[in-house]
Amino acid sequence: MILSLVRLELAILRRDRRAWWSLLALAALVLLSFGAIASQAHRANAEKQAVSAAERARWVGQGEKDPHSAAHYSIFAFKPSPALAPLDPGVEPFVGQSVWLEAHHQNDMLYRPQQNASLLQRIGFASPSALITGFGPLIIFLLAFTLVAQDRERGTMRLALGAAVHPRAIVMSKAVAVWSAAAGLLVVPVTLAALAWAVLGGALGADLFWRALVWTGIMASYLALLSAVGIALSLWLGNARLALTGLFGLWILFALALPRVASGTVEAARPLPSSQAVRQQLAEEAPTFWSDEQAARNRALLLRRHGVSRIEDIPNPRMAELDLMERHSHAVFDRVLGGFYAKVASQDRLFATLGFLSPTIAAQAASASAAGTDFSHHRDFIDVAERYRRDLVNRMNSDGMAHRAHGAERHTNDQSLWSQVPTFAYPPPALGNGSSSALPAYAALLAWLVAAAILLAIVSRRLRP
Amino acid sequence: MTAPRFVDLFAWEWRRTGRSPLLWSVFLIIASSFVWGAVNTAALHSAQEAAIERARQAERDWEASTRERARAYHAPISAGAGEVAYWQDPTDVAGYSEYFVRRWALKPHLALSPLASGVSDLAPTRLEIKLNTLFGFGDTYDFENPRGLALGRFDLAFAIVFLLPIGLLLLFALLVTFERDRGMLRLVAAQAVGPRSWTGARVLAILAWAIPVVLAAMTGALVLAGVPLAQATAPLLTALTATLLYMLFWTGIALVVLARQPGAGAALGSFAAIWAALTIGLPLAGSAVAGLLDPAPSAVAYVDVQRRVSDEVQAERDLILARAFAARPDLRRHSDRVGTLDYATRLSFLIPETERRLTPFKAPIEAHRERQEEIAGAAAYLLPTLGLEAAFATLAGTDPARQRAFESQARDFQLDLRRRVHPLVQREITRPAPALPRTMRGRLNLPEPLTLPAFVFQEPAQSDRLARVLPFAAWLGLLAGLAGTLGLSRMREWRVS
Repeated sequence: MILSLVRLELAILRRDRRAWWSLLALAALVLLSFGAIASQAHRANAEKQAVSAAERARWVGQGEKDPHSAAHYSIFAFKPSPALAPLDPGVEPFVGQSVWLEAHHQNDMLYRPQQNASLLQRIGFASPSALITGFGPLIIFLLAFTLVAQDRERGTMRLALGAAVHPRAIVMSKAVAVWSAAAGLLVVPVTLAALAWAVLGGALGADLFWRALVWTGIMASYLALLSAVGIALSLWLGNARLALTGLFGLWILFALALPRVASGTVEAARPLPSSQAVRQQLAEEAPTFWSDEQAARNRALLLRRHGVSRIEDIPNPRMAELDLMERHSHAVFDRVLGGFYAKVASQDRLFATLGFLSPTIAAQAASASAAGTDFSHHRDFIDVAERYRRDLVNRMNSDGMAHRAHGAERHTNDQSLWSQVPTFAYPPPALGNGSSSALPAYAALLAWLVAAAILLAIVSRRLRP
Repeated sequence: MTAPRFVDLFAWEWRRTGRSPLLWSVFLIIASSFVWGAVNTAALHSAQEAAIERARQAERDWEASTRERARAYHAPISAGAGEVAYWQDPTDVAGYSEYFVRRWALKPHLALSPLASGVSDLAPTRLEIKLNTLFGFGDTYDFENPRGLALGRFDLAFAIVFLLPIGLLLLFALLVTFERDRGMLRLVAAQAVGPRSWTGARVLAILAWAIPVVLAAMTGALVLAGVPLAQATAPLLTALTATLLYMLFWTGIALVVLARQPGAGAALGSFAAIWAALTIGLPLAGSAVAGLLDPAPSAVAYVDVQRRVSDEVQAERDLILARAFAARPDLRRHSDRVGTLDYATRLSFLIPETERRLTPFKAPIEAHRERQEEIAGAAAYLLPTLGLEAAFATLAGTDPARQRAFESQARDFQLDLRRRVHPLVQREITRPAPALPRTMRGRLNLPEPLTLPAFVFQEPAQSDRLARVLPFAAWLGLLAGLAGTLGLSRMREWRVS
């Protein structure tokens, strides 16, 4: 019976041109934005692969030189665009795509795609996830209003309830109709498009499949809870105008105001130190070019460590000092930058927790995490690249320290050493390994879903013809 | 039956509307969002100003430390303190040029900056200037949580551009359609009043409450955010005028929709569709079309080019230096020194050559950026939402044009520093190396660190900013007038069956 009721409600929805065409327009925008982001990501990934190969060739073919000079030459590492970024690019447009892995520096990741975006590009940047989480509520509330509130105003609801054995079946069929129309047009086509895109690009693996499934589940749950809230409020509020005002207000609150307010609140509650302060601290504690006074302290330390009294007794004192400062800088980077990134994660965790205030916040945080495009995934790339840099620089310095060089003497090496450094490769973290900061968002989404179902059940139980 | 005078109708509607709890609820929400937006942006800019001040202090400290070390290295070599390496020695002009010349180019915020965050959350307000960084400064930014950047900042411009129209349209949709939804429109139509006067009086009554409240809330929010009004009178008045015209524009749109005399549901549905089209649909389509017609040059490809050119320059190093020496009468006689120059001295020749070779690849990136800004400027006339956001950013001094001016001046500043320092570095080539071992710790070919100028941002005139905003404001006024006229002209007859 429910199925035939759902079919009937869907037919009513399709007859209401205003609501139905709004849904179709949003579905078209979702696919348009998917296409735009997917084609950009494809082009960017192809370029990154080509330039990464060129970087490797340059590294191996850099010729004979001092290993520390080779560590300065080093390579640029490029972050591949996550396979599900076309569904939800998350932080990708606002984080660097490349990092120079040179000696002494844990460089910032550079070349943020939106760094020099015009206002049109910034306002006009929309992703499937942003469109569904931002405008999905408006469309769903409009659909729910169409099915319930107007039905009540016309008096047809009273007739239907009077004839029904189980009023709950009527209410459920309306909610399911709204949800299936929204999910069927907004979520399913774009997920299928993402999977097809992955198949065409040879990127479809188990992890990507599960991520796509989780993303679909998140969006479907979000639309389901909105459908339940829309139907429940339309039934609960006395008249159509009041229902419409309430639903419109709820959309503004949930989708437009609270996410940005929450973001601002998080910044105020857990402020990040400024980049200026972080860089200054790094420059003071781990300088790239240290003073003569620091060099004197380094010499004393090296003599103690090598158990000798003359610098001439250390095989390659220059390289030993470079290695000393390099390893010192690792500890500083771990403490200063590690602490900084931990604060960013803490901000993201608080933002995800604020998903209990608005389901849109919960859906946004969970969506980026499932797509592998939140900051915790970006941090994973930063850490992998930094480990590679340290291995590379340490290997170069170790080679230098193993060979005697004093005064004007210089030890050099060649391709035989450079080719021992493995090619840089970045395996993205598997689902569940990268996003602990988003866990509260999943919990919040679940709580919203349960609350919406309870609300719908209570409202349908109170229904009287 | 005589028709009531419009003034009487308006006065009655004004009193009645003023008693609506909905009206004051909407105003309260709008005013709160204004305050939150302005204070939120002021907090960001205040943190950036603090970082600017710390950078100034760091620059002063660095200069003092350089002078102190230069003085210390005037001492004779002793058993415990030997020759200072050239890269640690500020008395060696080559070492000084590469390792000690550091200046900050700083872009302070304007008094009205809390009006709009513009590009201030993405673009840097501080650029570290060193002599040998390519093209003035490296790609850099102040880290803001990228999740927040992706979401967009809740600034005053967002509240005015996006939330204010929703509030206004909600009021129009619910307060003007009341009689239609209650089935009382026939009674109204039976009176001696036409739909134009009746709807016009009510819309005007809502506006008569909304305009002063919104403009006062906007001013109050800016005051609470710490804007010194006396220093920002002209841009503030322009921003208030633009906001007023924006409200009139949306009123015109509302009149076009309300001319069909719909119920609240139909009116809100139409308003939501128009609002969504202007705020997201058309910008999304416009941005996609602009991206397709004029795709951005690849930053990844630029990294590749930079590496290739750098390798080429290194491979041709001696040849480039030999050519440079041959072209300079003062250096021609010293071509034998080409192979013995230190790293910093070599850079004074190689960096300009690297920049010359990279310019054909760098210039298209800058040209694309300028073209995209021009496209956005033109699109602002088609999309008043984008236009107002851009106008606010211009008035607040957080617009891309001011950022570009800042970056251009930073590059000029670097070239000025090079003109001052590089000749001193290259002059050393003509001086024969001392035959005897050094007796002093420092090289002392630059006894005192130079007194180099500090960067001062040449602020474009305020009148320029106003002049850039006024054409859009006039256009907005014209659009508002056209939409309003169209809406009123369609309200000839009652549509009741």
